Amino acid sequence: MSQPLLQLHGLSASQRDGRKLGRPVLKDVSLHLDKGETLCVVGRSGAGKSLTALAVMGLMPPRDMAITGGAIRLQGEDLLNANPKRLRQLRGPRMAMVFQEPMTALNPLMTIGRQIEETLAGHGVTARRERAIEMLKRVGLSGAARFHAAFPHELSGGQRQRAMIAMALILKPLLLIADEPTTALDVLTQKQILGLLRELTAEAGTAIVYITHDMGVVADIADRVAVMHHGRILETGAAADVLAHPQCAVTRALIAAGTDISVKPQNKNLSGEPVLTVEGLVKTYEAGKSLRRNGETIGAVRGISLSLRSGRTLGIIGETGSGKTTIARSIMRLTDPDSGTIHVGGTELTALSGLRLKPYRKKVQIVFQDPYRSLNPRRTIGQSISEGPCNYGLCRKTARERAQRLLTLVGLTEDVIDLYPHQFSGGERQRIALARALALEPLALIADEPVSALDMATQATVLQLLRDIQEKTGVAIMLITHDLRVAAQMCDDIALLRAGRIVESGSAAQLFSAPQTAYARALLNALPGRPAKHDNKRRASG
Amino acid sequence: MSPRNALHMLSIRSWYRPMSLPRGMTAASVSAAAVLAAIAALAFFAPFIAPHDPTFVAPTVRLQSADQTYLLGTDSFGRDLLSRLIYGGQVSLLIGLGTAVLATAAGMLLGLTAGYFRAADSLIMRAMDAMMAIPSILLAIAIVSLWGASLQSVLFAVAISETPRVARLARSLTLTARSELYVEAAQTLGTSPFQILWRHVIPNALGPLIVLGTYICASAIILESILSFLGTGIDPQIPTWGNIIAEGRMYIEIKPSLVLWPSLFLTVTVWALHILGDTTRDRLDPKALTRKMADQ
Amino acid sequence: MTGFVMRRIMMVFPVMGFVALFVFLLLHLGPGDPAAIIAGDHATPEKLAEIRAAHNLDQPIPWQFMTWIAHVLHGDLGTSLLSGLPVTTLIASRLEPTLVLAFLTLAFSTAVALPLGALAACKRDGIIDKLATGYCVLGTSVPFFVVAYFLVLVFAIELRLLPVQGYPDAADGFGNLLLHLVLPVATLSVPVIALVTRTVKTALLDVLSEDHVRTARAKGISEASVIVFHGLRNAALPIVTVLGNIFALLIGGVVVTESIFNLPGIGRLTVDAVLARDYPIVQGIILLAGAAHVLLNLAVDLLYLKFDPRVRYQ
Repeated sequence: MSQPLLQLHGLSASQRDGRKLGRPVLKDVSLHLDKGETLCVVGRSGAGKSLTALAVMGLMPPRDMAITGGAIRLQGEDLLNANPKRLRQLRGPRMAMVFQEPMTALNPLMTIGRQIEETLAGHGVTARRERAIEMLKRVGLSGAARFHAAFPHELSGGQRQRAMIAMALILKPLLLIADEPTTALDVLTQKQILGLLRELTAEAGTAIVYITHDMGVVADIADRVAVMHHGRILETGAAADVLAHPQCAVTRALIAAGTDISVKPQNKNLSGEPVLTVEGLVKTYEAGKSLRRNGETIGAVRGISLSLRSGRTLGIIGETGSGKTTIARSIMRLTDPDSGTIHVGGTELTALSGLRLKPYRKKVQIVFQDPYRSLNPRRTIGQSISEGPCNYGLCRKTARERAQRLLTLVGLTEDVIDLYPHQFSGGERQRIALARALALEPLALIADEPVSALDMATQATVLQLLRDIQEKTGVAIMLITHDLRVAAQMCDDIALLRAGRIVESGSAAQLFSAPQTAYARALLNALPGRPAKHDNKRRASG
Repeated sequence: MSPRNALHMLSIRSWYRPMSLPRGMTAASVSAAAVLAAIAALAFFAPFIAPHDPTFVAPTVRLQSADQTYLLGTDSFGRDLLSRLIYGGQVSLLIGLGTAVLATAAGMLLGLTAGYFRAADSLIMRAMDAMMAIPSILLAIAIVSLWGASLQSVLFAVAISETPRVARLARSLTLTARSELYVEAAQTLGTSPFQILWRHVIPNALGPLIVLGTYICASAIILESILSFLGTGIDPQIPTWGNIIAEGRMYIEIKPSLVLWPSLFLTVTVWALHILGDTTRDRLDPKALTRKMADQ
Repeated sequence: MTGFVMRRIMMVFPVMGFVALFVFLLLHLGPGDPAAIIAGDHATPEKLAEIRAAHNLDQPIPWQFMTWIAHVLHGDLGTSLLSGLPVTTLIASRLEPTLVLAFLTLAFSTAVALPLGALAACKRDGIIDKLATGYCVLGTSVPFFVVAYFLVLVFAIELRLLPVQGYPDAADGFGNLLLHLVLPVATLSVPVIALVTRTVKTALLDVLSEDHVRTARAKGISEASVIVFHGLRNAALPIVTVLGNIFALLIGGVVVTESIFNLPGIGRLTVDAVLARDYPIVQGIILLAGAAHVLLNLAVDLLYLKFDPRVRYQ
């Protein structure tokens, strides 16, 4: 082979502010890619993966970023010095890109068909409608004519990503850059999309640069891997080599976070008394008030019963829209359930409201998913933590002392008490939110996706903290997550949720070793980076 | 919360996405503030600064050009133009500030109520829609002409016309704040609705409302000047920039400075307020706020 | 979707009800006797009694409101106190100059502001953007009458290119009429152009920073197509929403401009009626302006429904 398809040589880039150059974001990045090869670029968020991709496409935001050195060659042609017209000619037939968030990456006011045809029109291709429909069929959108006339919001996340892929591959490019195309999707859909990408690119001999933070995905699809960290390439090599013999700590951490399923050891505390019991909980949303998919209301709960015991952790697992958060919000009475009962320490709560509910609110507390939005930016963390105790009549001084104690408990220091939330990282804020919840000394703690907004390394420490706190205080934890790996590490009991119903429940050990239902097996199989035990042939669209 | 505290809160930029302003913008905001301070000082100390009595009629010196006694010349009654301009600022600033305070207070009350207590929402907001539907200039001249021309009625008329804008912004900020996770968190901590309003909603809505207050101050000054100009405003005996222009327009061919000088004062004041509002808004949150303000 | 449309249309009624109530209360809640306000400064007690009887002012206020509403619904806005003519006739006879003025202003302003705003957004921080931004702040800061007299001074008095004022009959020469309208239209356009330019620029910048524009660029289509089909087309809806603001701005402008340039339109009628204390005319004009504004907002919302598939879907 005379020359690689794509070659990056010493690429460097910096942030810019007007004419001033700021922090460097890419440092001496060198990569190469051969025809038909799949290269995974792995790293944490902020490592410079997406920027590298945008630089190749010539789509770096020119106001905010500037390339300061190096070269990018596609089939030997210098892309950095190509004029805009030439770059436009290359985008589409030679190189194409699939973006992470398929909702915002598609024009909301234009039909899917027109958006695909636009690519064809821009490169002077005729018979556009036929070709667009043909392509929609090939990405597995059955009933292609219907999808051709649909608007993006009428599609599910997986369907949108299929449409994006159709758009990118319609001109059979030599190079496809996929920027975390499945991160916003659930595991089952992720698996289908990965299969689709592999199939279509193999047919046309398209090379892929696949950007991800998930080593499981790497194990599934990559020929070669490049690990990025702080704008630098740390190591690169054949996928099998890197996965088996990682050279640096960052890679090892990514592998540990991405491919291990470690099940929590047996909890000795079997006889914990039930502190929170939910029976027959139903909450549906009026049509039109929430997104609908296939006629089903997303996020509805249709008859859930569960019970939480002190000292134990119950995992509520389910995909986006399966109703997990609705359960949490109903228990916290942030929304009123349609029917069903919620007992906390023997008292039925759904009939209470206002002042009569107040004494029971403190017994169940919640930690929300997004640590950036759950703390009031204008109140010091001391004020935030002591807000609850003050509401229940504790004097300010005592509440402040309790806040200081809690800060040490969650692994921060007492002297940060007068700082504001923006002075903390995401992981630290989640610790503060946890301290705020614990300040009321609750019997039960609901953790709604507590780590999904955090990067892998931080996730591990926050989860460890949750386990420590349970050991010290004996609080019952309801852990809501979509991530089976998190659930496996944390939970004693599991309730698997699908479309508002519990499809399987029982001890965590059993669910992970011998799942009873087909759905549970499919979920476990779809986890990237695991050798498939039961091959799943089902290929639903979306 | 005292206004000083509120301003102090505005100056702490770090809650928001840090953003470095283009250099010209800060220079503009500083100069705008300086201009406003100068005009305010002129108006406040008018009795000490103005070289003549602004209402002293001297028929012998009608329409004088600028000289050492009359720095900007005299009007058709022989009154000193500069003194009238200095005193004229009093009315404009009084109406501007008064309206900003009154309309912001009333609008906040209505908007917070509508946004937080759903039962009141549609009633209040339909009434506000109706008030917005009546063009403010028509509403203001109607009120002043029917209720008699006095400083109070002009102030009331202008404040009434500006209130719905505040109410709408306050409501939408309240609704945004209500859906914030930290408000839900406060609910789960047992915080009562009024405490939530006071601790979480109002402080976060204050910044944008102060920005809107600046714009309202500007548009109130324009509205007052239009009323004065049309002869439907405050008693023409009291000099205002609007009625100085109205009186001067008869002589525009002979002595255009009678129109140009008050126009300059008026425009520069309003311009300075707009610049101040724009820069403060860009500081608070460049993008989201622009959109919200544009809806008003 | 039809449910949504119906609900939106039904919302017009309470809003219009409130508009009517406010207009009615203007006269009745103010300090002072409505009859005295109507009668003017030097009214005899007999005259006051006569007015009270004629205007039902001796009835309870809710009853007065009901009667008034009933008349309004029958198209009767009362009669002018000065001329004795029906208010509707008076307003109808003054509509033409105002509509001509408003139409020409809108056409001219859009023609200037759309490309200006688009250019400013595409070449951000370029020379055009900086000039446009400066103009927008200045244009919204200058009161109408200041613009008017500035233009009069330069073009009518110094350069003697254009007539100072007046509204000649179109029959006497269309060109002459247009010549008389140049300064009024220019006056109104200065702030309207500023408002529209700023809106176009902000809306377009917003859209251009969205992810789907990057996708469009990644497809290799021309930059012009990206700006027109993905930028301006998507920005059109937020731009349309300021129509209501433009309407309010125009009303204010018309009142001032018609007085200055002596055009026999609605604005002139308003000012004359206010100065003569002819309150039925004032009431009628406010009511009609409010109704027009409400209907305009309805139209904008329905446009949204028609052109934004996301709203239609719900």
